[in-house]
Amino acid sequence: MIAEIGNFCLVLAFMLSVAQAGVVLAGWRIRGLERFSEGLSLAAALAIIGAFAMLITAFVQSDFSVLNVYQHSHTDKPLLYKITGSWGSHEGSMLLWCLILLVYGAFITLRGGGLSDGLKHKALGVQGLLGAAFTGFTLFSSNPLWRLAEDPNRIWALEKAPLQGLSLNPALQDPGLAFHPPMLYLGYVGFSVVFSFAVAALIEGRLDRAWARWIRPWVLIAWSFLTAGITLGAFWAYYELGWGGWWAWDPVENASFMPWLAATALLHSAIVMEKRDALKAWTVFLGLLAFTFSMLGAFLVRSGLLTSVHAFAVDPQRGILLLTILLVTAGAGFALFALRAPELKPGGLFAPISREAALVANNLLLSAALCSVFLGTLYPILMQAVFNKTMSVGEPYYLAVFGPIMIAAFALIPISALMAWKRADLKAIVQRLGIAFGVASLAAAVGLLLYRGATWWAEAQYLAGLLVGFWLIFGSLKLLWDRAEGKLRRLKGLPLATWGMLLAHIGLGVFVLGAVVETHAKLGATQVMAVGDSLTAGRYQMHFNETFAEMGSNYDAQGGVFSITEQGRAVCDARPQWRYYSASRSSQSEVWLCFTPLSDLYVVMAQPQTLADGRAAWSVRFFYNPWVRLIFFGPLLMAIGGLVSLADRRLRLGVPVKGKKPKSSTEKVEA
Amino acid sequence: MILLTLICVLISLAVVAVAVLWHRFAPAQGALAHEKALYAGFVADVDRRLAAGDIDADAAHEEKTEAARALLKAGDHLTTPTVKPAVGVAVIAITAALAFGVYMLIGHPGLAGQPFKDRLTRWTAMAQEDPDSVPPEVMVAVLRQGEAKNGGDPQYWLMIGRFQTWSGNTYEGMKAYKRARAMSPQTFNEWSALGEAITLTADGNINAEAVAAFEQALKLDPKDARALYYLGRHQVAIGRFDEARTSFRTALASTSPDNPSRPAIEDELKAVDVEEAASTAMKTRITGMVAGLEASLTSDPENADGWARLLRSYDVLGDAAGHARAEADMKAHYKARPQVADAILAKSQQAVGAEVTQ
Repeated sequence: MIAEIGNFCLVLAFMLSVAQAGVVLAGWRIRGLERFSEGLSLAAALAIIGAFAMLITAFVQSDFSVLNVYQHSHTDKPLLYKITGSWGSHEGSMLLWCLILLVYGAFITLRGGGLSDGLKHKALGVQGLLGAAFTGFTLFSSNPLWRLAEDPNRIWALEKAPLQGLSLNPALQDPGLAFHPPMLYLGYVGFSVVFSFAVAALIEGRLDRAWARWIRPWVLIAWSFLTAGITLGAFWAYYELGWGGWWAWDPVENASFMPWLAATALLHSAIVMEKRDALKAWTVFLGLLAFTFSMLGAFLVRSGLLTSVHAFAVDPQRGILLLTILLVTAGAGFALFALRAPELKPGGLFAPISREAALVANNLLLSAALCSVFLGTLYPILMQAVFNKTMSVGEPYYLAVFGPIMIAAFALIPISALMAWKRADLKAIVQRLGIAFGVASLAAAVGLLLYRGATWWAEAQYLAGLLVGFWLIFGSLKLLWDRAEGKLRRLKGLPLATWGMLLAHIGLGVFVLGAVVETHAKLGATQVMAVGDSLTAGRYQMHFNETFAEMGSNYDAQGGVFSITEQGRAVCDARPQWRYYSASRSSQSEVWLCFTPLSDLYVVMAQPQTLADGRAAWSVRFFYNPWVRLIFFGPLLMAIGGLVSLADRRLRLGVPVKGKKPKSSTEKVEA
Repeated sequence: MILLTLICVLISLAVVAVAVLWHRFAPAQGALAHEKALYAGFVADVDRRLAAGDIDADAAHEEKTEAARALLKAGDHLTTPTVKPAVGVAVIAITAALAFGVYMLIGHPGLAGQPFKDRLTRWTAMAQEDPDSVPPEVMVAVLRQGEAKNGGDPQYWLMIGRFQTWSGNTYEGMKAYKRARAMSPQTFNEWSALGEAITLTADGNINAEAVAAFEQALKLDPKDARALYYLGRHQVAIGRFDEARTSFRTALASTSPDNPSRPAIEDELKAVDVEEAASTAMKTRITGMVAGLEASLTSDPENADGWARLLRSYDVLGDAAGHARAEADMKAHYKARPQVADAILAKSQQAVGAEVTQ
């Protein structure tokens, strides 16, 4: 019953989405009909919420007559993972995608009071089309509420359901999975709203500052969630997969990174468009591009093209369907853009040295970086598809191509943030930033003194990385100081958008520092160890004291107790585990992280083995990951910055009709 | 079916109601007045920002001009809506009705849900009525309901162990047997079942723990056919072919002619000769290789890795005399460098695979 109610709700959501798009199209002929798209968007959102609630209920009830529950759940699984298991599969995650898509559509209605009717209804029409495409795909090709018509194991034919489920991949039974996919999808799918607004504006021919102001909150929401989602994913991969790293330039990781790069460029170009009425065509193009890359990511993960820990389905048929949705929607959007772009008049003029120009440079660099990632991700796939030639593009390519572009983009940030609109005085800015650069250089030099690289090139890279990281932080702090005119009490009066921007830029600096130090100064050792053995890595020594056993609700664990010392001084006791999940007959290592404020001591045990002398032993990996926490803290700071900006009165959804007057006259430079 | 239809109708009514309420209470849309109010708000905001010093007069003028242009453009093609609200209600209601139709085509309205809790209640009743009709995996689920109450009773775990093993879940069967053994080591007598569960869990490999369990079973009953069968297989694996033959023959003698396990035991007994021949050939080949290594070390003794490999080979072959001889030769060669000899000895005893990276 629960699954069937869910199925009906999914059908209803699909039909309502079709109707939502239909009334907008019919509105060309029957004036006034398009306004019903608002009610339909709310109704579709309610229906999809119902479908998702029913799927979760089926998981919680362990109703194995539902194929997806049978394939991804088990009665012994803890409740949290029964719930999160509902989006742990391709089908369930597609329903989550649809849920977010339709709920965003409803928000256009609910928070679109400040929008012009024409734009709002056309955006709702496009959103309805996207909703129909994705709910249709989910309903007919990837339905998580499909029932098992008969028992595949012939265990209990009368009830037409298997006795037990096959359980969820142990790697996904982790609190990280509870938040990573929803966050990521809130980002990916958030760009659908920007896409819809871009198409609506192209149809309407209304691309003005107001449009830029309308889309900025949506870009900020999606960008913030995507930032948080990617970061949580990196953190999950770091502590759950046991390989000691946080980013592998895996094509699926890149698939989430590409829309982020496009959205970051869009965030900045939308500012230029809003403030100066410039970069109209470019901003719309980026609006279309961000969601196109989101859909490309969905296609790559679900088509079977990629083999990755993240990849969901190995199913070319579904891949072709997704590719069709991608080509039709993105193709239509870009075709419309090609038709309408020549009509867009260039807006406000600006000098080569101005904030607009700096933001254009930022956009160019981000676009170049995006191209480099796009090429690195898709080139091997195309080579394989066209020439049947296997090739791999890894970290060296990205460090050589992507790295320098981003260093240039980062170096520009503090300068552009201090520039005035229209025309800026570069000499004055250089003078203002002199102290920040001096402090950053000093901090980088001190950092270099504490580091011994294998080659001069490694040391040069380390120095450049530290300099950029500190430059971002101190440059942003200098901007804050200038905005407050050197008085702390004035900080309170700064607009939230300014705080948001500063947090995001400082967060980026924090991330850069973490990434540079972790990559260059990391220590690692791998050794087969039995109780009583020791391992040495740099100034750390790890001794295997004893083993222990633990019985979880759905796993049995063997663990080891390792005491870690740093030059004789006790640091911590690590207790990593090797877990066996009998329901899925699979194993998973549980990493132990010895927490220090900035760095991690990372210990992981692999499968047990028996030594020649009969002793039980484990292949043990130990890593010292210096400043690794900054890699995760920095982007979270960026995401928080985005949300803080969103809280700014001027950037709330819609044109602000009501609001208090600014209390301070310090809001002179707008973020 | 009727209940499901009723629920679908209620859901449809709910979504229709939400849409209708939105259009009833949402701000008036579609009129030029709305556009005017919207842009008036925008202009007012520009004024506020100008007064606050956020923007300069030029920018304010530009923004106001832009708003005025947009307003004029909006007014060009805006007219009062002509469609009555009832049309919207009809659109949504028809959509909901169509959705129900589509659902009836692709859904399974007649297929009842199977929440595990409900199934368990039914199975419990069946197990109480006619336990023999209940498959072992179902019996496990039924029995596990009593874990909180009976978890301290070794007999309970023995029963779970049996049903788990019968259902093919040998890992959980092994765990249950071990629990029973841990609770009452003196009375535990299912050693051969435990050994079998351990063996099957290890994909048929008879490890030391399983061997110990089978030997314990034979202490209690020297004619335990299951223990004899697995021990026989283990004896074949370690090259004790005569002992294996004895084990299989005793196992056959202790099973009745119609026992279903007899063919498997007979097959194993027949296979002993083949295994023995293969083992002898293999041992001859390995011994030859080791002798070759020893000969090459005699002619070229400056090979630390070779010495470590030779010592390890003798350990693996169980040739203590060979090991002692090789060790003496090695020590004699490295007499002047005892640290190298120690390193070779340590390496010969060490597991392969240590690596340090930076």
